[in-house]
Amino acid sequence: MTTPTKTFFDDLAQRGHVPWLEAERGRLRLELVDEDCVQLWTVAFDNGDVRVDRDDSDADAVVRVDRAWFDRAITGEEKLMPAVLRGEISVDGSYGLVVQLSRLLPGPPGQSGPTKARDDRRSE
Amino acid sequence: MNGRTVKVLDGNTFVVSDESGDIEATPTDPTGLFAFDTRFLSTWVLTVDGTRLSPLSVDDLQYFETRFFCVPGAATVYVDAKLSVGRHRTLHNGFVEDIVINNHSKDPVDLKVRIDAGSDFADLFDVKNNTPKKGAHLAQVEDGQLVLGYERESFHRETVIRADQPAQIDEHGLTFQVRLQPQQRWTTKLNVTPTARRRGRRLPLVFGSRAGRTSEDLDAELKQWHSQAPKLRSDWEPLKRIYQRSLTDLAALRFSPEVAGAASMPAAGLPWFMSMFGRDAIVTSLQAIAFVPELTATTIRVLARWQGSVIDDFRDEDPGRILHEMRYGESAAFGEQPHSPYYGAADATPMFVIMLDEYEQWSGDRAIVRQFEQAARAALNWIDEYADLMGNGYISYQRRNADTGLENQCWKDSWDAICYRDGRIPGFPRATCELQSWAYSAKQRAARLAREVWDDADYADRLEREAEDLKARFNRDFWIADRQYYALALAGPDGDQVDALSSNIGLLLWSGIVDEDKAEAVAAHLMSPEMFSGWGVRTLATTEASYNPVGYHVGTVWPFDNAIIARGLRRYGFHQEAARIATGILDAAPYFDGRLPEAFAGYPREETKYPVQYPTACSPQAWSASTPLSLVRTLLGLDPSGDHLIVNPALPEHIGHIELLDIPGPWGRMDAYGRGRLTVTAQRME
Repeated sequence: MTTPTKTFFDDLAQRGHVPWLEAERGRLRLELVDEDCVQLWTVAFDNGDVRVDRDDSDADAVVRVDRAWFDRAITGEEKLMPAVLRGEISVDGSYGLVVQLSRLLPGPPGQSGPTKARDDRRSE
Repeated sequence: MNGRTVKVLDGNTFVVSDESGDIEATPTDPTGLFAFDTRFLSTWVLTVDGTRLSPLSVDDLQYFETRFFCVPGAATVYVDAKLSVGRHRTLHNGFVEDIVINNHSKDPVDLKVRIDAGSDFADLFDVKNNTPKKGAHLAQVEDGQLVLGYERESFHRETVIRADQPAQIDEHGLTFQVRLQPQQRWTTKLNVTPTARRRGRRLPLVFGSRAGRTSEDLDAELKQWHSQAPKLRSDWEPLKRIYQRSLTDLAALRFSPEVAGAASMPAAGLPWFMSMFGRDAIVTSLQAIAFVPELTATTIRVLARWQGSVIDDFRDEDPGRILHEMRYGESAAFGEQPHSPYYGAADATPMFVIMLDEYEQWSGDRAIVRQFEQAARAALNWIDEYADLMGNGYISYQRRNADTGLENQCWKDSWDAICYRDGRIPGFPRATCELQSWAYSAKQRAARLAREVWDDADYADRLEREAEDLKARFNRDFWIADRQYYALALAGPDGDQVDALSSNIGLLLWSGIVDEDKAEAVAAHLMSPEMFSGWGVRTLATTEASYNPVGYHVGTVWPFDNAIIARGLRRYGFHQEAARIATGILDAAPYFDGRLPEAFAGYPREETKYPVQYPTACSPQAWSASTPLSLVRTLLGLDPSGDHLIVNPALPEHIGHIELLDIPGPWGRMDAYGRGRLTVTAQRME
């Protein structure tokens, strides 16, 4: 069954090489908690190459969070760092990798972004 | 709090108390135990038989430990010293306090020793803005410990207090019944640990690599820090003290944010800015690069790891942008403040590229330049794709977070800092002049890296062309011909010149963006009585309508600003002027116990004779602590050139000579010597 989470990780696996991750190495395990079960996703960072698997072997960082939270995060409605500060996410191990996961998440929907004053005038 | 405060700090944990060691914070004063931008103790009062203590002396042993010597009773001419009380406070997973009570009398005594403890769990922003709390406060006795707590939804912060002697514990403190024989002493050790709950688990709030370090560890680390830095010798006695003070303060302000592992970078300043700030960390690292280059390496890694990746209006984030400020308190957790992190700085991104190049020159470490090539390219792309809000080829800023974002996203970030000569405040976007100077330097330096390290000659050519073009346009568009200086900014949709005479024009010299034929006029303005106070260059000239000698960015003198100006003056051959500024700023330091504050007032030197500290200036402040290092570098004329260190001293006569031994770099370690030959006319202090 395709879920938003699976789609997110499938897309990530398809990207293969992410240039701005070239300074990173290590494995991050994401534990998504749903009432009675825990879903595991592991992201391996290897100097820009990104692989995704589902095994529970050793990881340099382990992130545990409610699945409902992650569903909102992959639509850009939640940011990782504030949720860590609120205590909704537990992190063991390398925060550096956790921050990289957060940078792979999309931004919030419906942003205006930077606008060029002269472009605006030209379009008037 | 009235009277002197006593501070101990380590990274982003610090304690501010009175001279007897007590804390009685009001909602708006920054005293207490703070960690991760939250106050974990607002009350901490020691009494003996219900009597408060009076301080006899305070020993600031190290930045992370202090010893208080007190006696019970009010401070009067006659002190009944049958009892004395010592408090030894060390930062260690929060803090540890050893209390020692001595009975100096011939008779046994029975004493009730009491520590009152409480916490308001104020977010540092609550203290700054006096905002009320939204969650619930708790206090309970649990397994022989006092736990003070604060809860708001899943946000839990707790202060755990325990003693190693039997105590009666209630919700407001700990009481010890003590019987002391003549000449006997009683001791107890109190541990105060800030904690957070994450998914139900209580965890100490200490960055991983700093957890568990004892005062012995910290002491050994500080000794190593000093021993690895170059040794300074000078005929001018105060300089030696200023130099040691700077190194120690930089050590104190080091912290290891969660993504830095065991390495550390500078936090910005006590008490308001004990966190990660992109601009402050870069400036501090660059000023200290000839002395403690490892700060720069960590700053590069940490800022790259947090480089913006998406468009987020609330955080003023764009892809490639370097962060402005990170906070860890309640207001960031609940999105009441955008600092998680906040990206509203327009200069940190080009400065990141400058820092990468400068670090390579001072370390010879090309691996780091390769490792962060993509981060540098993303930063350069930000300049062209996201920062040109006027569509005129200049970096400008306009906040997208209109509630809690910063109006001014340059170093002068107070609301009224950017103004016209007549005091009017310009519209948006605003392109301040120094931003263009950073962009110019970033492109030039990246061109070198592209050619020599990234093996991309096309990119190098393109960057060089863009830099040249930028310089030509800048000298045309920002130059105010009839006033003979550069506009503070171009602003508004049409990019009108903002014509105030400001210290920003001094920052332009360092990058080389100033046309040779305009440099003399710039230098003359900087050294004019309207700008140069005798201590340093004012942020705004006295002739401008908004000038205020105690206005944060509109008249005060900032040491770091002057250090960059002095470097730039030397670049253009104004050695005398550079020495005059360096000497003025260094002359001010002894008035502050060798520690330059964030800013001091713009009054003329001959009027006040001593530098007047800005009322709420942060101290120590990282970029002020690193300023004397930068000034020594400027006076000695130190510059790396491949495997060689260039030494080209330009020292004032009264400094005599300076020796700087064991300067680290690609050359290994080298020494530099300079002898004072310049006559500097600024008034000397007596």
